[in-house]
Amino acid sequence: MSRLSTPPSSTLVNRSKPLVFEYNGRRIDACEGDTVASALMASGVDILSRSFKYHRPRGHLCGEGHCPNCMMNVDGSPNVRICSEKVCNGMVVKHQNAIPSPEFDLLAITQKFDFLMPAGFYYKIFHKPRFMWPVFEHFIRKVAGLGVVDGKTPPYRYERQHLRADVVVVGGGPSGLSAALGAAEAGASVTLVEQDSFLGGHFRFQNPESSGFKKVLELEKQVRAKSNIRVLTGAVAFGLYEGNMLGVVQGRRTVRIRAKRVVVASGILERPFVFGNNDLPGIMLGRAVQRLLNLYGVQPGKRAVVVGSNDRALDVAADLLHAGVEVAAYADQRERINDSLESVKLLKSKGVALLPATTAVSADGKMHIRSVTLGPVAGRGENIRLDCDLLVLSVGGDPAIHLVQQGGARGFFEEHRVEFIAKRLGEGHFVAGDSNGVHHEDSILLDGRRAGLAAAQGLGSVDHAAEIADLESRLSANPAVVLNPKTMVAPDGSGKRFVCVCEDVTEKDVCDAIREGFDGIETLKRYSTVSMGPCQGKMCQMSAIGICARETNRTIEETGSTVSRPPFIPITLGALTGRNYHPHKTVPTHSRHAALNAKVISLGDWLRPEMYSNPAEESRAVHERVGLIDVSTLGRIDLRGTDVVKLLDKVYINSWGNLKVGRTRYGVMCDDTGIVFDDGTCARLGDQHYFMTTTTSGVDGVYQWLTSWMAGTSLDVCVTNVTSGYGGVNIAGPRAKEVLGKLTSLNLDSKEFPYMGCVQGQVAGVPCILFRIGFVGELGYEVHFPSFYGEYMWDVIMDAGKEFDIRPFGVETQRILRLQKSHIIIGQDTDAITNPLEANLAWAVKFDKPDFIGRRAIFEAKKQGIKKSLVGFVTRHGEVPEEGTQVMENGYSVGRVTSARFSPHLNKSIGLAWVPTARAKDGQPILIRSKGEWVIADVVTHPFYDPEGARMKG
Amino acid sequence: MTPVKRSSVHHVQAHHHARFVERNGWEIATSYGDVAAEKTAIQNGVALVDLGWLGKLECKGEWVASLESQPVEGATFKKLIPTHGMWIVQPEALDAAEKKLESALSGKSKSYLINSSSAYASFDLLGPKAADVLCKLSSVQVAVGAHTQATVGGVHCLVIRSEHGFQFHFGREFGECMWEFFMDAGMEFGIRPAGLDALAS
Repeated sequence: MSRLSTPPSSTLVNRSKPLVFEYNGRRIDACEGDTVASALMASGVDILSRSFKYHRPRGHLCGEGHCPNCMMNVDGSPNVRICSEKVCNGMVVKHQNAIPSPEFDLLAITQKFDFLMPAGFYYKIFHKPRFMWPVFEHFIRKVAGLGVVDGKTPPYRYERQHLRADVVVVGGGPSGLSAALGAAEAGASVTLVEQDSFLGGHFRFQNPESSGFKKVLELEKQVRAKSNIRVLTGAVAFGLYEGNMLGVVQGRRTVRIRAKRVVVASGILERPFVFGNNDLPGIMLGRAVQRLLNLYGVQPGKRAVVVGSNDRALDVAADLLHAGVEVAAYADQRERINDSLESVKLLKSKGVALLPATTAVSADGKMHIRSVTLGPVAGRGENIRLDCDLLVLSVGGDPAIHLVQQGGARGFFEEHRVEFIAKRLGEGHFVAGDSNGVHHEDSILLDGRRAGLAAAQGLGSVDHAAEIADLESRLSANPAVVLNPKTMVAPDGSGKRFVCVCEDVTEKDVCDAIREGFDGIETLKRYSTVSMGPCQGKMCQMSAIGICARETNRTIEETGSTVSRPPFIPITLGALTGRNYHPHKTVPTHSRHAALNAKVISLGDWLRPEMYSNPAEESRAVHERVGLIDVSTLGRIDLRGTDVVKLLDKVYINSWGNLKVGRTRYGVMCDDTGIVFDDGTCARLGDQHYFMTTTTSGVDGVYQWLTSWMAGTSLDVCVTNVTSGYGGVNIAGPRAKEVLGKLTSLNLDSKEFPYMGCVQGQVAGVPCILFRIGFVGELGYEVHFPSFYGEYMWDVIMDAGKEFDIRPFGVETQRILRLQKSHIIIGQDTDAITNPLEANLAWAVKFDKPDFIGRRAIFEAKKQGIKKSLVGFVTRHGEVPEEGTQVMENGYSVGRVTSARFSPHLNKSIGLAWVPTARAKDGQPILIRSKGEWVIADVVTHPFYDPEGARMKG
Repeated sequence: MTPVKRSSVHHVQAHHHARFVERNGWEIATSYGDVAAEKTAIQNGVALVDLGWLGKLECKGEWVASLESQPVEGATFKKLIPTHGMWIVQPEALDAAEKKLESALSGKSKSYLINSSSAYASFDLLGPKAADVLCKLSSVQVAVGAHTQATVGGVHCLVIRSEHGFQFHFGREFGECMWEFFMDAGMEFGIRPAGLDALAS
């Protein structure tokens, strides 16, 4: 194998732009436009991999990204088909599934033990004796399998794209280009999806002097000139889903295209032929050879034998001659070869032996094909053996109808064409060209245009029915071309006859499985694993069906085919998920926390400062001087209207009728089963205006809860989630009033602005809502301001607090301070079965209200008695048990720790835990199992710090 | 200190060397150092413009149906659902618009007006490549001159399409991450932030 001395005019390779990459530690020279496979073959590398089970040498086979033979690790990414992977400068390519190399593989020893691996061997051997399975499993996994994910490779960047189009044409070959052009000319917006990096399909890699090549160049020019055609090259449509949504993968990008109509013009999937040693390196499919010759300028061998079954095979043989390859013979499975063809004339003029009704019987060679034995298709007569280093198989292919099958179509076997044709297409689906069983060169173009116009029919104002009818009549006038032979299996021959190159399944394996009773095509597939490898049956399905039909004396139609499901090609999980957008929320004062080097953590999607220095220092500031914490993440809901109190009385367990303007109340919400799901405060700002706060993560749920309970009622309440509109801080500590007093003219005296009071007024010139609330147990002012003033407000408060040595404090310190006060956090100290009576919230439950959500359930719970209680505890020896660890009694779990921290101020380890109600008494010892150790703690039923609340009430 | 309003991405803009001026109480980015390049991006590529300073007045209730025909100077009305709409108002016209709508509101039952200017971040994504950037973040489809609500980069947005690009209004707390998402998605198209100067010229 080498480069052609003169590259063909159709080449994609720019020889003036050299590239270099590494293959198994070896430097490989390539050129811009090369695939890794073409560059390796030009450098003489012909063994690309080892087979899945027997570790037989494998070489370039399909050249179109379907077979498993060229899968390698490229830049850390395993199972990359290098025949479709463009070379990049400096890329690192490694072989896989061979030790130490594909050329010399120690694992090839498995070929000696093939008797241990018949069809369905994993049901028969290796699993007994049972204790040996781990040993066998380890070995089998080592020997079999595909590439290995390299955990050291940095993650790739994946992306997602959403597109819409009137018509999506899958396949940029001649029929796809015609279809796209037809639909675009009819006024439709068109997206053309092409697997290769170029347009033109198989016409594009024909001889550049051929009429097909010239036609697709002209078509491509017209398509590129159309502004309403979007072309996606290097893109594979892997799935057709409900609503005509197409999943397309383009490199590391997943494209979801919503289409009104879909035209599938994805050509045929060329297939190999079953004969002895049909997997040897040097045996290639015709299109792989044409690609190497006409796209990459690589000569795939010196002396070739071509086995075909159609006129396209003759073109391949002619292309080989043009490229200077000696063609030892051309064998055609047909009874007659058309002498009038230009390609036949060329072959004859070069003295190539033309052998009709002849096929390949077996190939010989160890690491590469050395000779091929040809014999009569009928199986009777003399065989001839020819030396060669290249055997080209051009024996037809299967229409690629997988996508329309995913869309609901069925494949019907047409006996005279020997292929499955899609019928009963889904709504808005069309098939064109080779995929539609139309193989005549002119007909392919006509059928593409017919499909494009039909797809666009009804989308624009112009009726194309007449042109479509004319195209159909011209199509029926053209001769039908048959590509496929009657059988895909040679009559006899020595050596392993592979049906499935992915899974190393031979004809014998398939026959054995059928004899064992797996004679349905679906069960045969599952038992023998034929068509279950990386190609998913693209290379082997017809052979397997043919053998199954032969062995069971059924027709192919009776045998049927397996179901096509997405994805059409293997897709990495990264590409499938695409770029994940996990939006985070930032508070209006975010930049200030960053400037203070706060340790920021993610809580309920918010980025919040966990601490600025350390909790001991921060909590001391709050207890002794003044601290400032950002509380912008609190949920806020604005309620206005004449019926707000009715709504509040409905959704809260406590009463709201007597709340005066300027006052705030703590409220608890339960669901209709009496389970606590959120808490917060609600302030009355005006006669008909309330301001509710919720837990940070609960606001969306509470908002939906409120609006859902409003639905269908005639309540006059305007509920608005205003969380985004406000920033908030809590100024807490004995000097808090002095700090705030510097910034506002509001009367902060406790008589005017008492504990649980609220007021609206200016702070540092900014309109604010102020609450006197003490979540952290000290005198505190919660100030809510329009969020666009966030940075300004933080700055002015910090500036005002300078003389009092104000300290910002984070969430961690807040957790310690609230624990000292035994203030619970809903969702942490409660769970999905906690009712308010158990959570020390019985005082809030107002059974004297006419009704509230959860009333009946809480009432029933009360009648049945409370069996568990949430209590405080102090550990005797200072241990801080892990949150979630169990409270044990007599060897059984009777409760759990919900919160625990060391309090620097109290110099104790304190916490909250669920215990049996009988234990919920001061001084009762409880036993906690934490980190494998026993922790003894004593129950405390009152707040640990300032139990009377004198400090926060001021 | 005088209170000054800042958009949710003010610190991000500062990181991009934005030049700010004060207008209508807002610090607004006028450019990022190269007005000509920003203008080119708007005309030939794609540019991201922060519009956090736009006023937003939300109308809720039964009067929303009558608001589409209500002229308000410096403001455009976008009806979200039959009982919820939003006025997007130039900052200099915000006070007058609020007063006018409040007077229109008086006497109407079950109808409310809420000034939500501080609740939303707003961006313009402008230029011929704007749709290419957006399709990486959202499956939204909206015709020129129309608006819709959709998820963009996982964030619920009001999306308005003009002949020059798209305008997005979304929760202010998502400002920073949405900026990152747009800049990241637009990298392959050479996206750049643009200020008011480029927009005006």
